[in-house]
Formats: sequence, structure tokens, C-alpha cells
Amino acid sequence: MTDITLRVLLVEDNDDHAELIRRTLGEQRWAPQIVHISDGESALDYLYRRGAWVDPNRSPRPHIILLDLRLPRVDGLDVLTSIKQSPDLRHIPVVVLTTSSAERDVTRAYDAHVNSYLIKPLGFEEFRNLMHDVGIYWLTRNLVSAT
Amino acid sequence: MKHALSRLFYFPRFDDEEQTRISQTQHLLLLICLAIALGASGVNALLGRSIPTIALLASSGITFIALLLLYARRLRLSIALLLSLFIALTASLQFIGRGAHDTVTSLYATVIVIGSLLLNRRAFIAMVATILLVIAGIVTAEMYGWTRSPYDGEPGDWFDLAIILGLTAFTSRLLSESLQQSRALAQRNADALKAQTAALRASEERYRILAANLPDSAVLIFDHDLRFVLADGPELAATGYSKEALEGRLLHEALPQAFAAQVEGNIRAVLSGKRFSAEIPYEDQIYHYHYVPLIDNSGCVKYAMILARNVTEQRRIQAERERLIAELEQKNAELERFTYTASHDLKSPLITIQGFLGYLERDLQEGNTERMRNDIQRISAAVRKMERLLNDLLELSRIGRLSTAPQYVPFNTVVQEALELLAGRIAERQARICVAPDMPVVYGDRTRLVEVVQNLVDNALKFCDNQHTPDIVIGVIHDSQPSPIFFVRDNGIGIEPKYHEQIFGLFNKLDPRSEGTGIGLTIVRRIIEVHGGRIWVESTGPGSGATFYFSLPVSATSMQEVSHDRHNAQSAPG
Repeated sequence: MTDITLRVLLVEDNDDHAELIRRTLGEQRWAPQIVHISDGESALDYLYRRGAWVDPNRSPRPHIILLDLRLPRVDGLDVLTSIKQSPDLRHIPVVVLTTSSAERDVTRAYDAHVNSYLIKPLGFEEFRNLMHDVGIYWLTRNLVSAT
Repeated sequence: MKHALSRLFYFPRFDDEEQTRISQTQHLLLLICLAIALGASGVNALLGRSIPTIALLASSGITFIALLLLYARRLRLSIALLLSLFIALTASLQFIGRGAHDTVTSLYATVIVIGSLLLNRRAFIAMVATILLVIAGIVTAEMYGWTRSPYDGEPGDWFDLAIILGLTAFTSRLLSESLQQSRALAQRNADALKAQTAALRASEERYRILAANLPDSAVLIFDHDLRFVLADGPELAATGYSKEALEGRLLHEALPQAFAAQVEGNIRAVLSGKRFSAEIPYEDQIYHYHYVPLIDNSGCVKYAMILARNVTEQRRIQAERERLIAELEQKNAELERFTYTASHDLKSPLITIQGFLGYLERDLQEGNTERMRNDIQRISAAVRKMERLLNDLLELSRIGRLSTAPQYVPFNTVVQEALELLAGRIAERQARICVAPDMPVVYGDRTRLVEVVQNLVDNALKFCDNQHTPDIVIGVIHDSQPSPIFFVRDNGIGIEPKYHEQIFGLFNKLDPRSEGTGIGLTIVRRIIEVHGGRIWVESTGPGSGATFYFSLPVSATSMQEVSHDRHNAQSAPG
């Protein structure tokens, strides 16, 4: 356990889903700080510090990115590709969290070097357990690069 | 009578050519003898010489009998009778004349020559023997003084005559037989030639028939002088050239200079042994050309053959099949995208409902009524969203089926109906709407077309720039028959070029907070496509407004044509 604040960048167009993720992650002892962005273009703006996010103090690097695939404007896969092609960003673990279990999406995500691919479960308990596991694994067990 | 007389001048014919020839000669001979005998008897009658007249008349009668025998096809009997008459006449004349020394004796030579030509060998020998016996009889009669001859008959006379006539008979027969042999030889040769020619003709005929009946093809064969040796086939006529106009003529004589020059290189290549094929359109037909060197037994290229096959129909079917396959693939991909999107978007509200139901239970336990209210709202919103999505999907799936029968309707009427449906919203936004007058009549499903305009105008109102009064123009680009291109232009927030394709995707929304499920433009595009048209947007980006263009058919046929063009139009931008 470190005493620094863990930061999660949540890219999710569905406000309800974002709220569910925020709540389930927030229930943990090590509740992270969550930045929620609802479309792909804004997510890239945040990461590349453009537009509203030009000030680095306002856009600290996240320790992990939770990424939905189906996003308005810039698609989740394009966001992922962009992150993994950027020397400044590619070390940040990207966990895809989506409703799609289509083989095509899974393959394309791994081709774009995604770190993990998770499917949003339908049941409430399953959803909570998954978010708990994600938190435990990616934010406490997994050694993230501090930048 | 006339008929019977005219029959006299025809000799009977036999299956055997030799017999026919004998019959012809014999007939002529008999006619001449008959004429001479009748003529001579007439002259003798005029001169009042009764005995010769009677003798000549009797001879005429016998000759006539011989003629009748000939008509009865009794060749041998007929000639035997005639020759017997000759011998009897000669002998009688010798008897009453100067015996063996009489000049008529030379008539025997004539009889022998005739016999050698017309009799077979045995009959001929018998005849010659008879003549020699008769002469012997005459000489003997002379010796005893029974004749009026002034000479005394001597065996030496008979001997001389026998040698002369024997030699005559021998040489004459020799000549006749060798003549017969050479005639037979010539006949055999002629028969063989005839059979050969017939076989050759039959063989050539087979090739002719083969060339003339090659299905959908034309065959051209050239020699090394570039001369048409053969030009045939059912497709030859279709190209405007006839077999007669080509065969035997040189390439440059028979074809227009430019065309000939174009073909020449290929033919020369074939004559040098190259074999290849090509597909060349000729007028509105497509021909597949096989260029084949025709090689003889010694391995030399004798001719160049061009086998042209009309493949227009095959190519048309092939193109049609490829078009259908492409269309099916496109439809398949579309369906796959659709199922994928639909399942994804339908799953989202379910996750929301389940998730917040879980929290609702906790809220209850914790007595957190504030959050409880919020969660219930989220659940009910998700349920409503789900219902909307389902309704929209249902709506989209119905577009393929026509709601009303296609009809001709002025596009102005379509616009008018759409604007009436939107009257409330237009008034609320205080929008200015400008509609071009006299737009073309279009052919299609009226209700759906109204839906198109309604959706586009509704979008223009929804995405207006709040600082300006919405300004919407509906018009047409006229110079694009058979499917004019209409447009709906606004002065709203505009759309960045990178989203110009995305906005038509199912449930795709550029602004997640905007109202609606994001199906409107998908429905519009589907309706336009079902009508065989195409839709696209032009906008330079934020703040510049946007113009939606779409093509529609003006008639049932152009609906078909546009439908076929659609594939090309869509494959271009990828």
C-alpha cells in the first residue's frame, strides 16, 4: 500500500454505468480518485492535455484507464490505439470495460495492446465483485509506473 | 406417229457404259444404212431397174428389222443381222458382178472393221470365218463358171483375199481391243478421281459445317500472305462481314485500314507460332479471341486461326453475379453491424437496471431515501430508454417493407407534409424555412419520403446554433437526371468532416446528452437506400452549418437504375 492517491481515468459515455463504477470502486478501502470523461475525443484531450485540460495540474496522469469501447465521436478502440502509440502514455495500463463480447472487438483490442479486456456483468453482485477485483489487482497488486 | 418417228432417233441405253456406246454406234450405223438403202432403191425405181429396187427394198426391210431388234435391246442379234445382210449383199453383187475380182469385195473389209468394233471376240472370229467361207464359195462358183464373172476362179485368189482380209481383221481387232482397254483404263481413272473428289468434298463440307455451326463463334483462318482462307461461324454475320466478302481476300483489302492494322500485328504473331487469347469489345458486344497457330505435320505454322467467341452474355451474367455478391456481402456486413450495435445498446440499460436495483436494496437497509429516489429515477430512465431503443429498432426494420404503394408525388408536397408535422417545433424555435418552388416529381413511398424530410428538418432544428435564428433551406440540384439531388441546408452547429460517415451509424450520437437514441439518420439513410438513392452530408465543421444531400428516383425505371448505381457510388468512398 502506498499513501499516494490512486487515480482512475474512466472513459464511459453511459452516465448510469459511470455512476455504478464510481460507487463500486468507491466502496473499497483504497477508494481511488476517479476522473470521468464521457466521450473519446475528450479522453484524448485529457491525456494529451489539450483544450480544457491544457493545465497539467488539472490533468494528472492516471494510474489506470478504464475504457468503454463504444463511445461517441472517437471510438474506444481509436482511443486505445492512440494511447498505445504514444511514448508518453503507453505505459499506463488500459482496461477495456464494455458490454461487447464480440470476438472481433476482443481481437482488435489486444492487437492494439490493451492490458486487460473485461465484460460488464449483468448482475449487481457480479458487477461489484468485478470492480472489486479490478481495484485489488490493478491498483494494489499490480505495480504501476509512477509518473 | 410423230412420237414414234422421233423415237427412232434415240438409241437404247444400258447400265453398262460399253454397251451403251456400242448401241449408239450401231444405231447410227443402222440409220445410215437404212437411209442409203431406201435412197438407192428410190433411185433404182426411178430408173426403172426393178431387180435392184426389189433387192434394196428387201435390204431396207432387213435393216429396219435390225433397228427394231436394237430397240428391243437385242444388240448382238441386231448387228449380226446387219452384218449378215452386208455379207449376203456383197456376195450377191460378187455373184452377179465380176466374182472375187469385183470391187465390192472391198466391202468385206468394211464389214470386218465394223465387226471388230461392235462384236465380241468369238462372234468376230465367226464372222471373219464366214466371210472367208463365202469368198471361198464365190471363187469355187467362179471356177465352175456359175457366175457372170469374166475371170476363172483360182484357189490363189481366195488365198490372197484370205491373207488381206485376215490381216485387216487382225489389225482392226487389235486396234479395237487396245482402244477398248485404254478406254476402260481412262474410265477407271475417271471413276477413281470422281470418288476422291467426292471424299474430299465431303471432308471439306464437314469442316465447313463445323466452322459454320460453332456456337456463338466466328472462325477466321489466314495464310502467310494474310489472306482470309476461311471466314465462317454464326457470329460472323453479327460483326457485319460476310463470308463471301472476306474469303480469298487480303486482310487489308477486306477490312478498313485502321482495323486491319490493329489486327495485323496479332496475326503475324500467331503465324510466328505464338498462341494467346484476349478479350476485346466490338461495338456493344464482348468477344473472347483465341489466337491459335495451325501447325502441319512437319511442325510448321501453316495458318493463323482466330476463334472469336461472343461472351457478352456470360460477362453480363458474371457482372450481375458479382454485383449481387457484393450487394449481399454489403447487406451481410450491415446486418452484422446492426446486430452487434443493437445487442450492445440493448444490454447497457439492463446493466443499469440490475446495478441500481442492487443499490436500491442497500439504500433500503441503510434508509438512504435520497439516494433511493435517485436510483429509482435511473432505473425508470433506463427502462424508458430500452423501450425507445426497441421501438426505434422496430421502426428501422419496417423500412424495407413499403408502407404505401410507390407513387409519383411532387417533392414540394412531400416537404409540405413534413413541415406541417413539425409546425409546433418550428414555431417554438422561430425558424425561417425556405422551400424551392417547382421541385421535380419523385417516385416512391410517400409516407417514408415525408419521414426523410421530417427527420432532416428536425435535426436542423435540434442542432441549431442558439445565437442565430435557425435558417433552413430545402431545394434541389437540377442537373442530375434521372435522379435529382435534393438538399436540406441549415446554419446550425455544423459537423466536423471526420464524423460525416459516423453520424449515419445505428445509435451513433456525437453528443451523448442530445435527445433521441441516435437512430434518426440511420432511418433516413435506410429509406433513401431502399429507394435506390444515396445520402451524404457536407459541412466544413463547427459553426458552419450543414447540408444533407440525397438523390431520389423520378420514375420506376430510374429507381432500378439508381439502385444499380448505388453499389458503385458506395464503393467509391469505401
